[in-house]
Amino acid sequence: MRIRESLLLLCFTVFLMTDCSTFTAKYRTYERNMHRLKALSCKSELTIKENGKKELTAVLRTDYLPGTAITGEIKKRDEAGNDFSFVIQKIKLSASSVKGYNFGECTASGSINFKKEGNVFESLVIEKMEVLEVLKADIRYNDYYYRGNEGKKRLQERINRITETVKFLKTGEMRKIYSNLLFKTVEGESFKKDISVILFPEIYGFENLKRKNLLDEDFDISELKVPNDMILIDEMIWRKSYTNKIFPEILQKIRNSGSMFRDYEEALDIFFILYNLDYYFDGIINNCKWNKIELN
Amino acid sequence: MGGNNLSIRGGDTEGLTTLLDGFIVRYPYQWSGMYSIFTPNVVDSVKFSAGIFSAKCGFATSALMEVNSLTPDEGFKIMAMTSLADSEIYIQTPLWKNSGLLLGGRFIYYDLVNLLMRGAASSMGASLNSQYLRDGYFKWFWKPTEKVEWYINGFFGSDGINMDSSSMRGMSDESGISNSFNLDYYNYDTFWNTGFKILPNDKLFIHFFTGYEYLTQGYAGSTGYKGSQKYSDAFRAYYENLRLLNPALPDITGIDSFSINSDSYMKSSKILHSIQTRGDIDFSLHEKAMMSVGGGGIFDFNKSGSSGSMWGFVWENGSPVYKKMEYSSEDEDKQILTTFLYFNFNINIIPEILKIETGFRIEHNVLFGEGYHVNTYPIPGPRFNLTYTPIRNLKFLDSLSFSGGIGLFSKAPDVSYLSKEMGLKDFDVSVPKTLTTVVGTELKFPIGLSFKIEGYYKYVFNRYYVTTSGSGEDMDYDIHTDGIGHAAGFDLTFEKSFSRWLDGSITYSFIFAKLLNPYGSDSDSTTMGGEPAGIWFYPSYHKFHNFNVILNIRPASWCTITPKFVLSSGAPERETSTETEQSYGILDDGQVAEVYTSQTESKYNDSMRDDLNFQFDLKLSFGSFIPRTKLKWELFASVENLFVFLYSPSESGGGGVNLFTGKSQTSSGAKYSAQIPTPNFGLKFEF
Repeated sequence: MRIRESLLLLCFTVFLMTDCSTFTAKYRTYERNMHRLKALSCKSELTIKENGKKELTAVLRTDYLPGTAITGEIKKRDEAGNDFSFVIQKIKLSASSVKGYNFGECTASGSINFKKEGNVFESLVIEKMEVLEVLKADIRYNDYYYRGNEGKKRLQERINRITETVKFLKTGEMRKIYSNLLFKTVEGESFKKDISVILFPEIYGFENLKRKNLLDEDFDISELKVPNDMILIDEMIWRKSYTNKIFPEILQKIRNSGSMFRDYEEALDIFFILYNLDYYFDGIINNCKWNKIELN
Repeated sequence: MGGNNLSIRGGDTEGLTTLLDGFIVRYPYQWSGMYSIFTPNVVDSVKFSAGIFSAKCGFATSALMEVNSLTPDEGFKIMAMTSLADSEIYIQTPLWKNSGLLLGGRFIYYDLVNLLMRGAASSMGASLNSQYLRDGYFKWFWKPTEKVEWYINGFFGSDGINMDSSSMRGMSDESGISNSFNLDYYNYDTFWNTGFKILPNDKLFIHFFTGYEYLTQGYAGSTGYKGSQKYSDAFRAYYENLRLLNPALPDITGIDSFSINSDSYMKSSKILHSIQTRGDIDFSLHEKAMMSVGGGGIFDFNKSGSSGSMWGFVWENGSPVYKKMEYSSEDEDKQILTTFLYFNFNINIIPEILKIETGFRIEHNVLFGEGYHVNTYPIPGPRFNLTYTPIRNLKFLDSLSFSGGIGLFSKAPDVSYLSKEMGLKDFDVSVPKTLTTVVGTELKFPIGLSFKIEGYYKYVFNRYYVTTSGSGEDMDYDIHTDGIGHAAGFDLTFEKSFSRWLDGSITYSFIFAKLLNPYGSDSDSTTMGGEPAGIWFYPSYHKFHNFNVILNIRPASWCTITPKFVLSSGAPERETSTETEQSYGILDDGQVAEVYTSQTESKYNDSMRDDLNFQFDLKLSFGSFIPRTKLKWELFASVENLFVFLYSPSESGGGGVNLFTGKSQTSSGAKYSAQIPTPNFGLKFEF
């Protein structure tokens, strides 16, 4: 596969020309509330194709999970194609930062049923999506590249750490779902701003943390006035007392070692994706209406 | 060949040698040392050793730069950059399993910068040179198995500078004769080498390669006089007196002026063909000891020549006559065969606390050409280095180390002056040597801070210099290898390694260096290279103090400000005096020209120095990856020599006297570089 990739645009074009997939249908939905509030257009799109073996495959892309492509197979439940299941098999991730990127492909599980009701299709989440094992990874930070097994190991560890961090964030008072990673919307503050004050108040301000009241716990800033409270890692200072008070044990070492901040700096997109994932499947596309916009 | 004028710790400028994966690159510079041929996009790592380097490496007397090329094993990558003065593109691609290719190209031009700066340069009386630089890079590798790697490195580079000062030297108030000057300097270099790295087992590593380099440098130029000039009253009086003594001289009564139209041409070139091969074997004798053995050879084939047709005054029948003189010299082919053998030990006596590196190499040179064949005595090269780290892993101090070493270094001399007329026999030529000792200490602190001080003393002996005897066609060249010298000093380095906020280094060097060419009868004697003979002197490249600061300031992760500050004391300046005399000349068409002859005396002066050199460069860059892609962009703007308007050191040499007015004038060489800040901005993409 690497050889093909390397033969630049020419081979890519040839590959496209010789791809025997046949475009079959495209389904699109807009999240109703967002649309009404004139927030950023948050759409989800399911594209179904038929491959050379006459098998139906699908790709789900959504603005709630930017930089991802959720792929799987389509199982028809009637001959007309008005009732089918989308069985999730993989997810592709692409996240970049100022200094590098994290690209990867993971196995995944989950299932969504689509059924035609009148002029639209209604979706019902049968099995919630879960990200499982990293199959491929390509990581860069400055001039360091991690690929192959080393890349897979690093991305898997990063996803595991972020998954735990996201679980912790959901115990607080953050919104259920965010439609924008970096910018403020009519719903409120951006995802980045909210998690940054919870995870790293040493940088983004304890005052902001108190004012925003995003934690489900009282945290007294005066508690920080304890001896030997500071840890210096990667030229950043972290407060042990805050870590110990706020974070579950599994995350304390991750934060105090600087790994959490590195993940935040290098893979903020993955925080956003993993945070929104549950809510997207529970709240957005469960019982959601889709328009079939194009047919072969 | 060439010269970068880079002296390391008081050493000769030829004493620095650069290796690319072990292959000696003879002239890794372009634009006379302004640029290195290596760019970060083709280089994996660089190790610079100014002290005692391993017995594995030779052919250097002051320092060694070991460059390791990038192995294109990171999949498909592309980097493209364009700016006002520079365009570069590098592509890495895998070919087949465990094989990759890197192709790169760099093109530097100053046309757009010159266009921007033309007005400023003109107002400051500086001329802007037209210059170009074109480089191509190639690296291929293949690992047929995990334990074998085959690679090919290739480079082709060409650069040149055109100095055209015709417009700067137009007609003066007194003279209607303009002087034009044009010079094209060129430098072409290509080298290719191929080698194998084999790891038969975990205790043995074998590396061998062979390669070829072709390097040619030279210039072609022209200078001329064109126009007419009225005779001055003083000249008429002077000439009439001469005619009273010599009535055969042409009469200029009733003639107002003379006119001239002459063009002189000259060209010169040097060519080097070099073939190198070497093999190295590393044995792991013990978990604490590594032994290396190896050997190899270098065959250099040198050729040089020059030719031209120059107009000038020569004495004929008692009068100076303006004549065109043709000259041509095709130097004989001159070769050097150098062979070497070495062994080296790396021993960690107490791991992480006490380690030594010691070794011995022996080199042999044969110098030969048409009519001569000179063997030199084999040169021993013992080396010893010790590092002791008594303190480690304290809360506020990572480590404290002491180091010391001693070594003997040598490098074969320039053979361009050798000829059969010298009657050289075996062992008549000694190879220049330097005995170096160093002692230093280094402190490493947490968060990447380090402080290092290293002092050194060098004794230079068997220095090579050339003197002349006789004149004109009877001039003889005499080779001497009895030059000696002392160099001592210390380097201070304060460094902060990569940081998210601020990193960089501050360095200061103090250097003392004096040399002696014993052959010379009086203090006015000089060698062919212009060095004094018979007295101790500071070499022309010597500077007592060098202070450098380079910082990377990152106010935000996407923004870097890079100031660079260089301050150094002046190099030795020669004491010059010029005496001008009125004279006359008979032009080729019989006209009488009013001319002024001048005689310039240049003498070494121990206390005279050029001005302090000061330079401040500033670069500002912004960059990031485009969201959810592997595409990185960077926008940058820079200014070199930002404060040159406020302070510009004087440049020695380059003065002269106008042939037709006798007035002092600035020669073409005095301000050939623009004494104005050089701006640049550009955009870079990386995928």
